Amino acid sequence: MTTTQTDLAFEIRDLTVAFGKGPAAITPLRSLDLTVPRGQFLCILGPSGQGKSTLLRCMAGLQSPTSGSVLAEGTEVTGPDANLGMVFQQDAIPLWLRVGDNISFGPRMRGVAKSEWEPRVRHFIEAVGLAGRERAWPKELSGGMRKRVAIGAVFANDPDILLMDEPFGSLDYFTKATLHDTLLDLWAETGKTIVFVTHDVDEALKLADRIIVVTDGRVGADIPLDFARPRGDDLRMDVTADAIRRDLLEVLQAPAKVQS
Amino acid sequence: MTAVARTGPRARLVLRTKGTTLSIVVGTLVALVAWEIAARSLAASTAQGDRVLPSLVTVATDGFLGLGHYYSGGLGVSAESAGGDGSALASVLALASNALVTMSRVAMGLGLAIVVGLVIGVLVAAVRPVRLSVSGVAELMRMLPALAMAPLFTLWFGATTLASVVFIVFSGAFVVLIATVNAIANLPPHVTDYPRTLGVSGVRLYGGVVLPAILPELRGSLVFTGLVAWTTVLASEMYGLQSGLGWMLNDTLRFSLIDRMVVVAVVFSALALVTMKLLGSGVSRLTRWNA
Repeated sequence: MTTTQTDLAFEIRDLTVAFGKGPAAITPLRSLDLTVPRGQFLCILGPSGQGKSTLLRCMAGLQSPTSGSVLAEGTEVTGPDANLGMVFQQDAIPLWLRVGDNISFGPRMRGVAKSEWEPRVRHFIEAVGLAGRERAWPKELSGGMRKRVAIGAVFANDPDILLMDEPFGSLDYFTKATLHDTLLDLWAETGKTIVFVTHDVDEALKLADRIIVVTDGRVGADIPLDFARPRGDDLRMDVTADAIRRDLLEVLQAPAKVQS
Repeated sequence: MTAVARTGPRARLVLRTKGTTLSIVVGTLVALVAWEIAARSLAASTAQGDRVLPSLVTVATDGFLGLGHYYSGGLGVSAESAGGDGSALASVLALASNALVTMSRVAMGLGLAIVVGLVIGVLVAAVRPVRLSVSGVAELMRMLPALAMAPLFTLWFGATTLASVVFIVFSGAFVVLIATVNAIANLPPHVTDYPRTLGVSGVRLYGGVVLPAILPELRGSLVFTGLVAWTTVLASEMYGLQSGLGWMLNDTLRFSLIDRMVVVAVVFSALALVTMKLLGSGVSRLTRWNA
């Protein structure tokens, strides 16, 4: 399959995903349309069970659409691909590999030449703050450190697109803030497209170029953000940001509709 | 042995399989004392006039020395049939040589059973046609009393080491196969989704991710397969083979030589225990990341 030259990282048309059949069927996504330019940091917000993670799994090729299409950089997504890296909500990194082996896991397992991946792996071990911890087992690390391993591993695999499913949801405020900075530094350095699912409005306001809200299986709101970076706590004092925050919270607190 | 693992509101009963050195020593002493009391209390004799339950002294003397009868000669010690005097050294050599034969059968059978069980288990989990064709057969086979099939393998392969090894593989591979299929089914989806999003698939996914991920859950089944291997080698050696601890046990049983039988049974049990300990610690070492 050839890749079409396009400025779009994603082009999603009329995407519907239904689980089950008949009256009991659940339809988390209904004719959803979305385009994501290359290099954008997109945050997806939405109430629980409204299709955020299903959308991300479709983008990653882990979930087949019932109808419609998902194109990544002009190529139809038909399954998982090394170019569509993903950081999961759970600790998904192999627990039987030490930190260094975890970060080199993708390129090693794909048979990439060591000379090609070794400098990149070394760079990302340092970039995510794990230098000196290469020999540690994941179980010896804190939750935040394990997330650093997951982020380092996905960057070291060098995909064009990163999909992140509530990666920092279980972390405390300070760990989360530090990881935001690390992620934004890596994004600025590499220029990769990032699609980031979160429940946290402030997290989205800090990270995103653009926020979409998925409600009832569709894009319910699409908000571009042009606040200057880096964004610190002063964003809380910004009138425009505050208005966006209030609007988003209102949408998120609306009673969820039954998806059937 | 069951034991209360915790006290208080979270107290629960667990099956404790990890015997400490102290518990093994205490258990052995209790068993020896109970045996001696029973031996002194029970007066029943075999047709040959020997005690059905010989005393520990009889086992350690007559029973042990009688095993020289099973030595076929070599290393400067003659077989009994060639004029050997049935010395203690002959008994030691008889036990050692037959234990080696049995251990080699167990090692070959157990190793192959683990490999065959893992490979078919992974194929069953990964390939739908294999799943459809193997699942029904596996369900049927697990209902068969494996030990009762020992004579069948002797019939098919003769009274040979091959029959013994194939029988161990047949019995042990099913344990590993079923445990592998269940362990893979129990893996959370993100364990395989994550490497797939890194571009890892096919044999590398199963060899590099699925197998290491299921190893902690397989520990108990692999240790149990060790027990199955020792049980089945015993059964196979009792049918026609002329070597091995199972053959010695069968022979002592046939002639009601209880004192000799006890010595062989103790050696057999000790070797089975060591095998299971080695298997357990081997898997623990491979899964030290999970400790």
